[in-house]
Amino acid sequence: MDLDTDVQMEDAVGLDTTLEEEEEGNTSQEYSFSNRFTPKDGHAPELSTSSIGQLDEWIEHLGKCQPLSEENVKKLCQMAIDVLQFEENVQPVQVPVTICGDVHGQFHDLMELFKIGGPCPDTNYLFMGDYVDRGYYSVETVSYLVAMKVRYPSRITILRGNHESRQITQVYGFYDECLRKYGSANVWKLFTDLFDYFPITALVDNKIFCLHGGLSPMIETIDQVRELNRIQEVPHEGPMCDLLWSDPDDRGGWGISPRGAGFTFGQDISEQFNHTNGLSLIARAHQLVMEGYSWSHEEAVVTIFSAPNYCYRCGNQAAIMEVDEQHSRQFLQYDPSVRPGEPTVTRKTPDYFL
Amino acid sequence: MESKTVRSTDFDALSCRLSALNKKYLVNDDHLMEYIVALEQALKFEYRLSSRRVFNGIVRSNKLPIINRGTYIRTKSIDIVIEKFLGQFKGQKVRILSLGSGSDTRPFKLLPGHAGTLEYVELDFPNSCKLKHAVISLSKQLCDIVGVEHVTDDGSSQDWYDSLGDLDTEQYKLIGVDLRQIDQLQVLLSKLDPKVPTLVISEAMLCYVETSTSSQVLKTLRDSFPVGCITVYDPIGGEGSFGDVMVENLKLRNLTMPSLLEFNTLSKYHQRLVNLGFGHVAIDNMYNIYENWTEVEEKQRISRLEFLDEIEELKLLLEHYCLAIGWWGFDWNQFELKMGIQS
Repeated sequence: MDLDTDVQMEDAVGLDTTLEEEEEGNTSQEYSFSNRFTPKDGHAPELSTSSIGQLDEWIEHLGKCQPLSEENVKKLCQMAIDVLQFEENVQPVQVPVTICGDVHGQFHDLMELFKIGGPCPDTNYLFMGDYVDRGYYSVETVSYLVAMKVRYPSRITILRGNHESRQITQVYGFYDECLRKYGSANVWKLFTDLFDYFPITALVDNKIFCLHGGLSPMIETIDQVRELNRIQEVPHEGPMCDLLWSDPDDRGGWGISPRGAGFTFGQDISEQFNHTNGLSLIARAHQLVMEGYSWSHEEAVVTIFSAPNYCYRCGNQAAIMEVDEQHSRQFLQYDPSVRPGEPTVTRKTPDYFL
Repeated sequence: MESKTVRSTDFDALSCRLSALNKKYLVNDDHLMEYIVALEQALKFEYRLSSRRVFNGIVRSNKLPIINRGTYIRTKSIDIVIEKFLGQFKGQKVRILSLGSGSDTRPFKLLPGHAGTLEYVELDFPNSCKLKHAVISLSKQLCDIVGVEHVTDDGSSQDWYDSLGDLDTEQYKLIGVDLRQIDQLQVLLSKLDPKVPTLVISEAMLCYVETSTSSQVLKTLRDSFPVGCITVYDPIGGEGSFGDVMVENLKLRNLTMPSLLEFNTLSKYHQRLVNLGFGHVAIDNMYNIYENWTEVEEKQRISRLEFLDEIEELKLLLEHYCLAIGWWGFDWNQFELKMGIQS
């Protein structure tokens, strides 16, 4: 697309999101989670010139893979809540957009992603969760994406993944990384509190339903997602949990997930869901796929995974999916920006069985 | 490679076993805790000022669920082979010969239940054996099992530690040797009664040795015992980029694994053992072994221990490790273990 110099200011004041909400019509009645705010009228407060300056400064700083101070993380998270609380459970997104999967703290690969897909905000991005854990730069990665979100709210959409949770981050690295980099759990607390506000799904031009995990036996229609109270820790079970944890499977129907949360769902389930909701595709992330993307259920479902050489061990490619104005899709695959053993990244060796 | 570098892999494995025990993947292994307690004392003589750091590195590392699961599978699968082998020669004198055994606590678990029939022999670098000797000596419980005299804290000293050599009792032998020195290995093996059916265990050991040497080690073992079995647990590089990434990552720890890319598939590793003259060879990857060897109830127990978010990664990782079993000189009629390639 052509670069429109006015775009950035428009983004910054959040006009786009307000318009989209109004176009959706009756969305306000479907916000059962909030008596605190009134989404129909409410929208993110306008960014002042000084806020824009501050955000640009933070983005530049973070772009060099340098973490923000705790004080600035606090400010950033507060600004992000002001934006994200007005987003919907099913956040509407317009084409063209580039859809991305798990990043998992692999900051240098995220920078590679923006090189491959084009810089934000020139390119619109939709990330489907799992920014933190496993990689060694979860703090920088999530700070960067949140800063971009606040700076360009209608150009970038960041959904919640199952790792954007208090419980999971204590096992898989983000908590420990925050302790190591900040000397306390304060930053972890700030971010995990923020994660509760992340939208859980997005709908691209009413045709592509995007989410981290997959379908839920308790959800037949997208409207039912709109009725959920999402602003909470990811529950252990129930529809919100399933949306962030489930996987497509070759077996039909619903199955028990080997992950211990969510379900597996077969082609019959995906086709019924797409038919009921007038969708062309379910785009999701959550699973390591060696080529970076993988079709399931005769192209009813696509898995996108955007962390190349996942955990610096798996040797997989990463991919992102561009959807253009005509809804045609193109996958861009890429390899790690930094190869193992290269001195630019200091880190411990990933575990093997030795 | 330096013995010190390789020893770090033993501590790594020990740390993994401890984590898997803490998370209850491994059960009924009191000897591991006993070993850890005595190890803390013994490390002071080996590492002196840095012993606390080394010890904390072992005990204070919580492993990810994927690693706990893989450690469980590795440990359990070898336990199963041992059990099958001991079952095959029930009531007879048998030997377990463990290569590069490091801090493995299996002898302490197995010896009490097979008194009078089982001889347990462990081979490792002299420095590793010295440390293990000290650990055993400092634990009354372990001393009683292997049949040596207990050394109290008062009795232990740097001089005492420095003087420690091999251990040799009726049921247990701990012998320091560089396995790459084939002539030394041959001398050492010639001292063992060849008539005793022998199960050789190589758990993540041969992979560190140049392949021509490790093949010689295998051949030497094969020729030393008329009736025997060898169980090898090793990584295999596979045909994708997993192996290349692993080679690069291990370089950061100064580790090399010469066999990784040379015998990178199950069929190549299988053929290697066939070519070395092992009469029967069965092999599979650890993912299949977990799937095929684990009872349904046990799988359910394991799946409830921790959330495992890395299903695909676990599969990928486990598919790059194999368990190979070669045996000769007897009909293993009770083998009954499902393996992908069997000849």
